[in-house]
Amino acid sequence: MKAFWVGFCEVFRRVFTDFGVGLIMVGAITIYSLYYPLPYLPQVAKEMPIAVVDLDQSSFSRQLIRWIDAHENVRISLRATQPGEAAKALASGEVGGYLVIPAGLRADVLRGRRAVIAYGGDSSRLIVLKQVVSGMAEAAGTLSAGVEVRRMLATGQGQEQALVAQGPVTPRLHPLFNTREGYGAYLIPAVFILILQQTLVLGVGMMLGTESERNRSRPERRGDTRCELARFVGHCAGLVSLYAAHAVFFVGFGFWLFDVPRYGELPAVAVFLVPFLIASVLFAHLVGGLCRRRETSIHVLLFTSIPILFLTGFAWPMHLMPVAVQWLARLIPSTAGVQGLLRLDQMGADFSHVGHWWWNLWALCILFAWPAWHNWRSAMCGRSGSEPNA
Amino acid sequence: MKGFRPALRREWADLVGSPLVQAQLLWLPVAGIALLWVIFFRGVAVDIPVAVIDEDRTSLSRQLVRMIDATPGLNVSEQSGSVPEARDAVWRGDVEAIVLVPRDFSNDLKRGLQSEFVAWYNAQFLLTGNTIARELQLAGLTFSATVEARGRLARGETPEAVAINVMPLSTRRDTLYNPQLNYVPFLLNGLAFALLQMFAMLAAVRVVGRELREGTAGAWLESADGRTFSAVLAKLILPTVAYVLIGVAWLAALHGWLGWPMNGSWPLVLGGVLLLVLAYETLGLLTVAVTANYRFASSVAAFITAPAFAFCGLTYPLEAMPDIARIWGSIQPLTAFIRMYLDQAVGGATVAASSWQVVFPALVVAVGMVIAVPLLGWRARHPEYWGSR
Repeated sequence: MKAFWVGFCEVFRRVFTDFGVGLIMVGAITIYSLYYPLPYLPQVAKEMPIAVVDLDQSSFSRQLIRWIDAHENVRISLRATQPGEAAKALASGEVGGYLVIPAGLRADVLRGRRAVIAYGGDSSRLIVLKQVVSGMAEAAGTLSAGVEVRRMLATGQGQEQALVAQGPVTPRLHPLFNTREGYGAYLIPAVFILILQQTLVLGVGMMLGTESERNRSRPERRGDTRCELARFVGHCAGLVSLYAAHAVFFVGFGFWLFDVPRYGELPAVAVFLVPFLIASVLFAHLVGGLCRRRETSIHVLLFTSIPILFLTGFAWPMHLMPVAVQWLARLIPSTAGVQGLLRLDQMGADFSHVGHWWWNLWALCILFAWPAWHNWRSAMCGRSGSEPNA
Repeated sequence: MKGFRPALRREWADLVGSPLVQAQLLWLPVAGIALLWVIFFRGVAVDIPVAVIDEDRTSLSRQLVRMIDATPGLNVSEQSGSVPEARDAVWRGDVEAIVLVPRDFSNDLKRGLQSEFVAWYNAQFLLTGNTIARELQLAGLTFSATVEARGRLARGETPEAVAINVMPLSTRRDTLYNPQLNYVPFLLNGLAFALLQMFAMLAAVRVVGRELREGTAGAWLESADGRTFSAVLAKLILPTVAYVLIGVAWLAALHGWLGWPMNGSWPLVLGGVLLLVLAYETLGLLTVAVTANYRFASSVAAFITAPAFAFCGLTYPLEAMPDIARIWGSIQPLTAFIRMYLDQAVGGATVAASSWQVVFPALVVAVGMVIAVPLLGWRARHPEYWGSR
């Protein structure tokens, strides 16, 4: 038991005395959680600039332009006289989309000929495109369905004609959970979970790398296995406690600060967090233990954050990944962590809905336990064998 | 250049002797890009599972369900009996949306009344949510047009008149370059260069930082005849060559093998890759020179490069960010590169239009080197700055 508390206290001593480790395991977490979500503070991109080319110059086209300008998604920032001008503005990134009203639009509509307005945007910037296109389509749709067209087309069919313009069947679409469809609310919870796991990986890598270097010159000094094991368990418990505090900070303060909706019940979230944190700590020893020097973890493991974030399936649906990649994803705690915690906390799911992810995490704990212990022991107590030049 | 060759020989020996250095220069970035590629290889979101509750149970409602199933984005994977049952499936993650066709759906249609179907979609997973909304909207329009046209034809209207009356004012959506909204050329491409900038800055920190930390900075300068510039140049040659080659190979795969068009200037884009790598290497050198601490410089590099992708304006527009995030984003060389790449490859912009995106990283390199090289030389000549970590 004494060895357990030695291991437990060692974590905090190291975090507060080793500036490098503290910077990752306390500093980076606080800084990243405030700095990474910054771009997404407005949540929804509004008032995207667009260009309009009005070749018709009629009362009807001006009405259409007014309606589009009034839409919250877009703002007309350029009134061009030729399509080429709008295309140039689009290419230079000055506007995110354009609308071309063909000459003779009003005449076509009056004569009952089909009229086509072309709109479009730069599809290489998806969020801009989505806002621009939906804004323009809604405005044009409203006008198409609206009084103007109906009045012009009215040939005595009355009520029926009105329905024609609207289309007889309309879908009523309701976004669930992230009801404002905010970009921040979508990204921030997943990134916070990733930050927990990845700072553990980098921090533990730095701890073990430092120990590994320090012990290189010393002879192997393995002690009583039971005592060592108790110290390792204490060490892991210390890390889990530290990160539980970080998780409370994220859920309690970070989500509030960045206006991320929460529907979850705290006890369920806490019960889910337990195996996630244990699995992440063991995972951190598994990969961080490969580092034989203090700085290696940052240089070798930092880049994994980007693929691991997308492996969680929060952005790109998992069913579109090859099966082998889906299995690889399940071997990383952040996948089950993101899938489970987002469903519990952001979507208000019941614990029974995420039970399989919870068991996935416990399975990872069992799978990682021995390699984690092995890596910790060889770093702390000296290792035999060759020393790569890391 | 005097001193350059022996210093480079020293770097080469280090590379040949250390599998870890080889991994950092070659295998890790290649593995990272390859893994991202495998994740996104489908490119377009298809077959997103949705649950349908058909309370109408008529041939019309079944036709609507078939149309929803036929959209490329959606796949009707469950027929649920009730909303709570379907909602459980959303929570479990079996389906991403619920479509409810109400009881009076076909009755209303037959009586010439406005009819509707209701859908709830999971917007927490925003990307799939957007696809679902788009596809359902489309399915609704197609279904409307079919029903409407059938009615009018039955009443004896000519097909031409039907075509006009069904949709008096229609819109045509043109999306440049990437009409299917494929994720490979824009998101995956951006992520590939986000990985490269990370490796480039860390490599520069590492090659010089380790000499200071291990106390071998003196030997390093000596190997270059005491010429700081030659010594630094020899340090940067191998990472620069490796990362530029990886970037070029990736672009060749994207535009050659996968066949995405390059509408602009290849030389400019390739020059941009070189400048991107050099700019981040310069930032790395500058960080080591200022901090004289390998470990701290590594952390700073991580702080700058790990979230750079979020600030580069590719996923979320720069214009919509708060001022502080926009300014921070616009001074990152990655942002300039992404902008230049999109303007060239997608927009087919002129070379002149992209000049600032090339001049900016070049300025970073020039100004950064003028400060970093002499400062590094000074640090390397003063052993009191060695060994910090």
